[in-house]
Amino acid sequence: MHKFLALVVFELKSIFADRSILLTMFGGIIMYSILYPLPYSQQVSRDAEIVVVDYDRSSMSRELIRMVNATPDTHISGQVDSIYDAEELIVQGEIKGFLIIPEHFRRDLLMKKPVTLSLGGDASYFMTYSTIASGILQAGGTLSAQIKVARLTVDKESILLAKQQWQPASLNLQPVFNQENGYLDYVVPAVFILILQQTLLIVSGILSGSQNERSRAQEQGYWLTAPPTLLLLARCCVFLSLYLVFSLYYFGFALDMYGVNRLAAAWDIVKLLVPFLLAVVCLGVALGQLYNQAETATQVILFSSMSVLFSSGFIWPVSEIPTWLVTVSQLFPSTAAIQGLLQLNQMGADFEMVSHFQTQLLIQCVGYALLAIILLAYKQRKYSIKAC
Amino acid sequence: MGLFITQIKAVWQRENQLILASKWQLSLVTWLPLACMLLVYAIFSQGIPRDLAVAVVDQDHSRLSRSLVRYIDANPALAVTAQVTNLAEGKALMQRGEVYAVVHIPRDFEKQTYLAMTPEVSTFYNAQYVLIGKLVSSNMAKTFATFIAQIDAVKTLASGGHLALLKGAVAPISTQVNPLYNVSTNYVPFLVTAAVPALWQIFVLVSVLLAFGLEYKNNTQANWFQRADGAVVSAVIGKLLPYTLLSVVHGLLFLSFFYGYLSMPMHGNWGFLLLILLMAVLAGQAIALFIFTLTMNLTQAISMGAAYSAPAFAFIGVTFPAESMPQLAQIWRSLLPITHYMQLQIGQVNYGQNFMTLLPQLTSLGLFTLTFVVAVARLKRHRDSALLTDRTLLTDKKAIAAGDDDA
Repeated sequence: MHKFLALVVFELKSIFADRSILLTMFGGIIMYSILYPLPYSQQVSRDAEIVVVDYDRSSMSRELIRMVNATPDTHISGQVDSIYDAEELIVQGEIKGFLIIPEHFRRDLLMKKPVTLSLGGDASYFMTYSTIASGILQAGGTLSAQIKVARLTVDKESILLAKQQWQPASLNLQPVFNQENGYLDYVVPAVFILILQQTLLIVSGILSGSQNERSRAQEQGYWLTAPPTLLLLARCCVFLSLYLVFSLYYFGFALDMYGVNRLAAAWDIVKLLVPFLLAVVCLGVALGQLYNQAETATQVILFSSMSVLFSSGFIWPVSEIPTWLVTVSQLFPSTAAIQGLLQLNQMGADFEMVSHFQTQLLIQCVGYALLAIILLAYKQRKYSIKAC
Repeated sequence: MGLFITQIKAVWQRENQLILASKWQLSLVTWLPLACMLLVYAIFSQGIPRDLAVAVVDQDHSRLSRSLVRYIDANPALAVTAQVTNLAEGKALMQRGEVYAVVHIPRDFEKQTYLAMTPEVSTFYNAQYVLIGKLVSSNMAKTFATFIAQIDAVKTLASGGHLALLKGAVAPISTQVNPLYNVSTNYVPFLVTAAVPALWQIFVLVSVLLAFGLEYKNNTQANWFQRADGAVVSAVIGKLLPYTLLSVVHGLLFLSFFYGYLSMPMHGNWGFLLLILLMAVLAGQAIALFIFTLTMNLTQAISMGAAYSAPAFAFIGVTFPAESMPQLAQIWRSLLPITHYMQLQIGQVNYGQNFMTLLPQLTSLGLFTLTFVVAVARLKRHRDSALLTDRTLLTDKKAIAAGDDDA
């Protein structure tokens, strides 16, 4: 026990003596918690700029333009004479789409002929594109409904009945778990988990990497003399306590500050979080033995971040990711943690529903711990022999 | 001028030897960036999501409700994977991540439809996954519109409507939505072509940070400056040059992968694209060098470079529009070379912009290279102060030696 405490003290000293570790851990955790959510503070995109090409110039087309402008999605910045002019404005980056109202729009509607509006949206930017499409479909749909109601009223029926009967059945599309389709609620909870994993992998990598550097310089540090299991245990203890504090900041303070859903009980989160953090520390120690240089750790983790995030299943459906990549992604603790914690904390699932993620993380813990111990022992043997 | 070139050449040769001598650095400037880029492509390679899982709660069990279920299943983007008896079960499936939406068809759906009582079908979709949720909801809306148009048509015909006027009666106004520049709304041209450059920028930065940082970590900077006869500018240029070339080659490789190998549409000019790539590399290298001179320590500089470049993808404005970002985010994004690069790439590839339209963003990229001046000045000052301490140390030693002699 005394030996263990001594190791903990050694570990703490090494961590707090290394400025790179402190910079990544404290600086990174705080910096990323501000930087990643920053673009999304408005949650949704509104008022996409479009122009109208009005070939009809009638009372009806002006009514439609007013309705399009009234939706929160689109903002009409002007009218142009031709599609060519509209496309030119897109190329210049001034607008993201245009609406074409065909000639004889009003006349055809009065004659009960079908009319087709045309919408061109710049699909280089999907979100703006879908915003424009939804705005115009909504305005067109409303006008269409008004016309049908008016016709039914003229034909025979009372206006109240007509208002109900203009369509045979209606669809109510209801977003759940994130009622305004907010981007902040979408990205932030998942990215926070990734940040915790990646910074932890980096700092434990820098720690091991610089110890490897010193071993090669013939230094017989405590990391070469301590029993590997005890060393891993001490490191797990130190990083777990530090990262529980950071997790408290992320899942408590930061999510609350950004107004993101927090549906789970704190204890349920801890039940997933602790196995997750432990799995990450063990993975970090194992990976750390492979770095000859301290700086390699940051690079490896940095280069892999994007793939780890994209394959975790919250951006792109898992069913659409190639099977071999899904298998690989299951090796990262973040994949299970992101899915489990999102279901628990953002979608309000019961713990029983996500307990298989806990099992997965615990298996990772054991696996990576064994790997870390084997690699630590290997390194110790390698450098002790040299020293003799 | 001749001297300048010989100095650069000497440093360039030394740098190439250094790269070849280090396995990690060699991977970093050759296959590693390409492998990481291919990985990102592989994740999204399906392009258009198909068969997103939907659960149905059919409380009507009529011919019409079954027909609606078939309609949903027939939509290529959707697949009915579960039939459950109540909404609670559906919600649980959604919470477990097994389905992305639950469609509820109410009791007496068929009866009410034919009695013109307008029953309401509800679709609850998981908006926690915004991107997937939007796909599900828009496809559901499309499918439902076709479904009711068909019922409407039958009803109109049954009540004596005219076949020729049918379409106008059922849907007076229809809207044709045309996605420009990405006709099939495929995620590869949209997302991958932006994520890969963001990843590329990370490699541009890190390769420079590593090259300069290793000199100071291994304490070989004296030897490096010596190769350039002590001229800091030539030393910096010679050292950067191999990375500039290799980064531009990586850029060309990913662009030719997209617009050559995958034959995605390209309306621009390859000459302009090459110029854009070069400017983006220089801008990134200038920033990287500047970041390095802030710490003069390799590991810390890489940590700072990571903080600068890792979140860049969120700021590019391709996924979430830049116009809707707050002021602070707008400022931060304009300080990232990749933002300007991305607008130029989209401008070339999608719009085929002419040179004059490119100019403002190219100038912005050019402005980044001004940080070279600051960085070089800082390197120079650092070297001179190091020399000065060396010299004082040396004179101290001499003084001590002289003192010993006296004794």
